[in-house]
Amino acid sequence: MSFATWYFPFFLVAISTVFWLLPRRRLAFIVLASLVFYSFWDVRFCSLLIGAAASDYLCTRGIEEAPPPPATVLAIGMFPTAWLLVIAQFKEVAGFHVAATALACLAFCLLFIAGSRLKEENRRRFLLYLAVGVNLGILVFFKYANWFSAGLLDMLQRIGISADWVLLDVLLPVGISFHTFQSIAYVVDVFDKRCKAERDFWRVLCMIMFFPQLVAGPIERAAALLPQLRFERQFDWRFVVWGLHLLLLGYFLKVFVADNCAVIADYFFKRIHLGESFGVGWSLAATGAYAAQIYGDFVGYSYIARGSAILLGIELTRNFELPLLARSPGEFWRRWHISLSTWIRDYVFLPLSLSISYHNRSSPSSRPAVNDLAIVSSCLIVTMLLAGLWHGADWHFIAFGGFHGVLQVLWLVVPGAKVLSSSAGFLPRIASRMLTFVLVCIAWILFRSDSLNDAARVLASVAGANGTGADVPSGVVSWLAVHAVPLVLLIALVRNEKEEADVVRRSRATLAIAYFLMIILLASSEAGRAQFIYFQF
Amino acid sequence: MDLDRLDYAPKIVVPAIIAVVALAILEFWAYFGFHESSAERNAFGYSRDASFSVEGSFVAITTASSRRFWTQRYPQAKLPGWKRIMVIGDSAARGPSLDGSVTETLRRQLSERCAMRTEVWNLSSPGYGSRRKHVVIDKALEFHPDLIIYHAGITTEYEDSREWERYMEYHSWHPRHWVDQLPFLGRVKLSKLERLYWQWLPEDVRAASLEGPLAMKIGAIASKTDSRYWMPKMLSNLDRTVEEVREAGVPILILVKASFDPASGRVTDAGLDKAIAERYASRPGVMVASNRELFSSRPDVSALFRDTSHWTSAGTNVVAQALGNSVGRLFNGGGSCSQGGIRTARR
Repeated sequence: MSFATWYFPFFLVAISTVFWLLPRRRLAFIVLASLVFYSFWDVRFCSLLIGAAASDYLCTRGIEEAPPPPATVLAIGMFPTAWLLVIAQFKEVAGFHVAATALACLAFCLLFIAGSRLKEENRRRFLLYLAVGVNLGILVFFKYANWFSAGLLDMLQRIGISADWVLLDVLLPVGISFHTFQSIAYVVDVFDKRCKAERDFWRVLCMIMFFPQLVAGPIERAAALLPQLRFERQFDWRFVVWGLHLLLLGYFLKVFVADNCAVIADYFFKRIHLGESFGVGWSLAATGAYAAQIYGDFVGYSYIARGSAILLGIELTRNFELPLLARSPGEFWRRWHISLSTWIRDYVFLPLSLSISYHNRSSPSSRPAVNDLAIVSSCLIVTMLLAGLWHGADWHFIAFGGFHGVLQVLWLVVPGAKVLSSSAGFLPRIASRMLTFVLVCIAWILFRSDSLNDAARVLASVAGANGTGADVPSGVVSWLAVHAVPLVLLIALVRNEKEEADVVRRSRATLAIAYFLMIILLASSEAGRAQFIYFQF
Repeated sequence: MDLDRLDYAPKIVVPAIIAVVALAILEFWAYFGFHESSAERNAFGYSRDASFSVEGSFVAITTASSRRFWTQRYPQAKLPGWKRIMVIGDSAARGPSLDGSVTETLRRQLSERCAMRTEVWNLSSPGYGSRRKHVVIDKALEFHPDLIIYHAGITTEYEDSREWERYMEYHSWHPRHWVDQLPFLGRVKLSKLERLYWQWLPEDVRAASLEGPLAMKIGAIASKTDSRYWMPKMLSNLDRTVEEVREAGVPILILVKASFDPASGRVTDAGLDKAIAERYASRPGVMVASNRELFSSRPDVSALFRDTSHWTSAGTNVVAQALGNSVGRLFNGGGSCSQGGIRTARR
């Protein structure tokens, strides 16, 4: 179920009302609601979430203490197969899928039981690898198998071998990149003793598939989310007020700003893909439209997710902190998609750079430190390439990540860039923000284009390769202005705060006008016109 | 974080109430203050009674419910000795102003050349195709016309179809349209659709963005000007209209619309005039006139069109003169004002 559908508000009202009326069994109710929520896309794929939760639950138990007995392992480990068998009574499920799931579950159970017999430290490490392997296996198979198989087919064809059978057609489950990263973080945190293993399987399942953040994050840390899923908070009317505040902001950004700007951006990038050429005017307008679209879309989604969660008394991580005001690419990532950037910092960049530093340390007794520019730079680029790949299985996503990596390295090694980004004063502040925005827009061109070739053509158009005339119709510019200017005004209003929601710190009159305008502008737009961009990840 | 922000909740309440109350006031104002209800507004031209109101012994015709008629006022009952002619068409027949329209020009010519006392009602609205013209005629017959002049073309069929889909959607029970049905917010949304979406964005940008159920239906429709697709639909609607008009005992003159191609200098109608003439050749009380034939015979054809389909004042004069001849022939049975003009297929 998408937040942008007409029925989601009804679903949310019903779920939160029943939730607060229930004297107990709230955990089971939210798990059920989340299963219903996800089943709107494909009820079969719930088995993946259940499988990931089962693996996380069993492995973290085994990492922290004595592993559960084999009967428990089999009961929980085979749960995804049981789900598919139940679903098969109502919906067509291919026998091959059931058999493959059963085999995978059985293999996991056997590996787990075998690993449980190892000595403690080996067992801990084995179960960590097993849980991370399960989650990465799910991610790689469902997200990258098509890409790899297409690449393999292409390679084989180049050397004269026809092997169409290698080509896979695997459906991409919604939100897979988010819940697998959340699972990995939980297992690693338990291994590193940053968080306690949860003893209730349903709570782990609820953490993995808590519906407000299931399909596009934020990527929550178990230490923050799991304790809240005990649902011990009492109803507070302030949850409702703050939740509605966040929901209004979220829908305004998504439905008014993002979906309307998407009209321009989608048209342009589709035409580019079909081989059409545009001049500077069109290219700049479309790039600006996409910047507003992706901002409104993802920031809006995050507000809706947070608003939905707080209606149930759950606080989710703040995922954005006015990223368009960033003064450097590094700062941009500290403000944009914070749950992902901190995830890749904690689970990729720091382990990678510390590991290299450890091997390069001057003496075996000295402590490793991440202070070597070459190590930091190379790790930054590798990390950002992986972040790019996380977004999607295509070269333009990798280029997007690589470009951001290079930018961050440049800000480390070019003294002028660092000075510009840190200087006080009006002009340096404006210049550094504009420079960062332009660079981020270039990266978004790589991100949005359907291929690297398309991205190159858009960048060439922006540079004036197809003429420098203002070829964009005035109606398009007006349309863009009408839908992007309210976003700019909102950001300007909260420029000294953490996020758009902090508009509550302004005067009551400003707030009343903001609500009034947001409702009118929101009502003027067609809800549900476009899907959320980040759902595809 | 959100839990830290809960202390702001009390501060939010008053501004939120003010915003909601302000919106409620606007809704009430819109409900009581606008001359048409949101239901009429959302009729998209498919409301039978919209734009016509009987005020005492007069009929007032106004712009309402996506029906952009010129403001006119006529006695409800025909005056003795007067003929009542109604012209139903799209923007071409509507004209740039009431005074410069074909209806007013026709009235003047009939008065000057034929000494006929006539009311010529201009019941034409931009973008109206056969389906909405039928709704207009259905209402117009209540006022006992002596002649219906029907401007027939296929270039507006696309708009008719689009507006019909919108009409069906807006009147559905679906919660997606609850806001649309509000007097104020519904109007804001509609204004945006009509004033910004359809007018600002180039057609190909709009078409590329259409992904909703309505969009899918419209997208499935063949080209806006595909005559092979639209002509059978238009002729089928015209059949219904002719049937109804003839049942009311009113003669109908069908003026077949033509377009001007500036590149070739030719006037074309994709064979519509021949198709209509053949269809109604044996129908009593039905006359068919071809705009293409009328204009093609003239050497100054480019001076008759403002653009591809709208007439200049010279073009309007030519059409009005030809119509006047036909009307004169119909009502006077011949005479000075019936010479020449449109060659009609009349039985």
